[in-house]
Amino acid sequence: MKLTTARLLISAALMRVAFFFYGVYQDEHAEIRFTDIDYFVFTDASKFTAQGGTPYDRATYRYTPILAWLLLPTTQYFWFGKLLFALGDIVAGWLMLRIFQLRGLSNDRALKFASVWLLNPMVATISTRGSSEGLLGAMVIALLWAVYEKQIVLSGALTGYAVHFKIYPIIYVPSILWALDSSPSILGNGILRWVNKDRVKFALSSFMTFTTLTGAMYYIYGHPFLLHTYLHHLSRSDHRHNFSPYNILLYISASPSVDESPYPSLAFVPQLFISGIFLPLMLAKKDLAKTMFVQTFAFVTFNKVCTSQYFMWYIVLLPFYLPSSAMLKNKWLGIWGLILWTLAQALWLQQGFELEYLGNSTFFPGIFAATLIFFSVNIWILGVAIEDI
Amino acid sequence: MASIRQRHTFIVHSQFRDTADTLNLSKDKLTLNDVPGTRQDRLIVTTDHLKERDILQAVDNIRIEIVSRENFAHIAPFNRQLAWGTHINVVPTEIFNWNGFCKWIQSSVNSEIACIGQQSFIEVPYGYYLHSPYTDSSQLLSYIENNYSDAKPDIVSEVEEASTANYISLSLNKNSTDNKTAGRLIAEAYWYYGRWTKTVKAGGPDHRVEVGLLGKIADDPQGELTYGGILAVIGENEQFVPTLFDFSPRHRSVYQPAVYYPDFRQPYGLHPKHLTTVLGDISPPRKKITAIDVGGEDGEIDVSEATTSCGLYGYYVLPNFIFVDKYQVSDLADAQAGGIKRVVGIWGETDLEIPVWMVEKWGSTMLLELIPPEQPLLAGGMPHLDIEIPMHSRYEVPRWNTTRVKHDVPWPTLFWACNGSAEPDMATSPFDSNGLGHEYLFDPGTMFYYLHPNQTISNPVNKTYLVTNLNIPVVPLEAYKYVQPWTVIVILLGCMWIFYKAFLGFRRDGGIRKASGVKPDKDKLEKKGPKTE
Repeated sequence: MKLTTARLLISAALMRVAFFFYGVYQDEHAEIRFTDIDYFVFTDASKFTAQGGTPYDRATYRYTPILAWLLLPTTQYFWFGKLLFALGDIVAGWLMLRIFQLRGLSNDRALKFASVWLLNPMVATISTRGSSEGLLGAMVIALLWAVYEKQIVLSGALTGYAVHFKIYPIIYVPSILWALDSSPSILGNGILRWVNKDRVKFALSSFMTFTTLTGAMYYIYGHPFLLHTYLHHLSRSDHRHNFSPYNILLYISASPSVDESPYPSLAFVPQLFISGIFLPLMLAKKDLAKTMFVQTFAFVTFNKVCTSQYFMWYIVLLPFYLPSSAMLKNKWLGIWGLILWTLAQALWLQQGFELEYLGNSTFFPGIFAATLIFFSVNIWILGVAIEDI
Repeated sequence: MASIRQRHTFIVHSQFRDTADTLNLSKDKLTLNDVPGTRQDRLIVTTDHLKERDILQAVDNIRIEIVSRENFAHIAPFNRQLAWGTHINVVPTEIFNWNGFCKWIQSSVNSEIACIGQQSFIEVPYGYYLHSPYTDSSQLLSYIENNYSDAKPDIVSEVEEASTANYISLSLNKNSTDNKTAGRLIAEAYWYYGRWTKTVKAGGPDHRVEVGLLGKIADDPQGELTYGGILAVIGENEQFVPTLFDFSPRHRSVYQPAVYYPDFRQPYGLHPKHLTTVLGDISPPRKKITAIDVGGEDGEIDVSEATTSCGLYGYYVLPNFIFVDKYQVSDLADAQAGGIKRVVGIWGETDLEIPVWMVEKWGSTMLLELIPPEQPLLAGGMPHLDIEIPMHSRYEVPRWNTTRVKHDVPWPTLFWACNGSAEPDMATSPFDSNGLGHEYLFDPGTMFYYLHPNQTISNPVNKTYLVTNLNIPVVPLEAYKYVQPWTVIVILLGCMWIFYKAFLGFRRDGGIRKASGVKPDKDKLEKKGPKTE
């Protein structure tokens, strides 16, 4: 059976429908719930908002109120949010195919690479469990698509919206600005030639969208909005164990047993420099989509906190990197890459299980070593990808 | 009314015989010689005896209780159960100096109690509450000694004896409806058993000293208790006065054999499941009762049906290294799972994410209404109730030389709470214990029937405690000397690798300038359109 766009999209949709119903079954009958705890946080926040309160009435709601608004139908139809997120996946996939077309990739190859996202069970699981990453993926692909379609103002607006939603898409701003080479300058010659029509349009539209949305939310919800949606993420010292290489250092350093280490607060430096300045400057003019992929990968790898949902942020851009990737040309490179990436996670998960469910203190060396190994595997893969572009 | 009232109550066995050897009452003193029994001492004074007037004048209601760690028996009528440790319950007045209050607690109750200000207390429906695991009563007893010594010179020997008590409390309630105690400071001590040899001297004109030796005469599980024995007011009575009286107790132990035992499901990690198994006759202690009222205006007999309803409750005291997720517990209650019928309340520190060193409050408390099991119709069946509460431990402070922090979690208190339209006035009981504490989480007039903790009474040879052990895994501080440098080294090496690889790609493509020119895209067969591809 030949893979066509329609068939791919329908298969992706059916897959998500199947996962959704499986999830309903597991929620009812098994001890461990299928639905993610985050989904209950979102739906509770929507419920409180519908009752005239604020989404921040729900403890651990750390997102923009717009998400709670989008999920207001969940007060009547609990599954609505999952539908929205799964739809986000499909829209991301469809826009991905449009981008491939604009980049001139043959339809067959485009469908193949888009399936890495659309038919990926990990991606389908995350959306049907109720994590909002699918929605975010749709936003990122949409803003990239708008750039390729030369809809600069739309792209800026979508970027502003994405940054309001999740902050990290701000790393795409330098890449897009750097890559928008082709329109006439508006400020004459010399250095100022860099300031061209497209760049100005993009900068203004993203800035205005972001400030309007953020300003509106602040006006409605005040300080709790700033605190939970933004400040929490910036000052976050989440020492609960996760994949990040800074994890154990943060745990010990944040405790009263030692003087606070200066290093965690410097963690932003390599992360933002590499993902926000270095990679865009080096690579954005060569290939914007691939640059965005490695930027995101670098951002997640160097982040102070890393959970498996964060992988979605770069997996949505992976299909753009793959077509001419060294990891596909050299099969063994690709296979080893995938195996090591998976094994490193499995190692961490095993140590994490010992801690969480058996009570063994695997913090050191177990989890510590596993996070450094995972970091190293990611750096290796990232290095291959960067050299490739 | 005398400004000092001192009462010693001994609950003695029905075989006890008052002989000249064991008891000797004279005009100005009573001597007891090796009298075996349960003892409760009570001292009620007006507040003008207090040296330090400020703190206790600034509260509307306060109750400080110290319950000994070793498991002791609660002999009737002193059946009220409470977790071990120090409990401080307070209803402050409008303008209250919390800082000063904490300083007072540390100087007058126990200097080890962690108290900074209002943030150390948890807000409960009736006021504020602080629980501490420390059980040393010597400071509190010194405080009582220092403040009462000019009023009652032989307080010193009383205080010495009280250091062996199983339970000590100090309370003051300005708004009490009992005018014998309203606005007065009440000190109480309880020993579940002793062989008492002591001399009780007469007081003075303003100081009434009363001694009673009592035994239970009758016990109606659905109604009143009857106690009888001998009383004497030292200095007034030269002979013992026989006494017999009925009263309705607020607190009782369940009459049926119903026991419970809590533990954590093994193995557990960071999310221990607290399981309390209740065995025995778990049926409500009070049935529906009918009240007959004779003599309306025309002498008619008015039969009204009174109803009493009873609920089974579990009251949990959780220090801050362990907590419950209120959303999770509410979900269980919605599904009537885990033995939980409804969540009456969860008070205190319930943050789901912060580590233990960032918690300001001492912990949290939780009151749950439980689902009593259906009683089996056939004898020989053993009903039991499993109460399973998912809990979570907080990240602990890393320390030297250990990967595990050992903690003690108090046993929950399980009881039936019964009330209804025809409840008698329990305040007339001379043994009523109604102050700040779990009683105030219920309607006034509620009667409590405590289930029996399944643990032997502690004795010097075999000490037992109502604690459940909890181990929290922690990172050992020795790891820090590796973690800090190695994290930095690996991150730096990672950065360098990235720069190196980018440089390789850069060099291969001949630099940025070349890259921005029109060149064939590596992934497509023919170029097309804008440069951003």
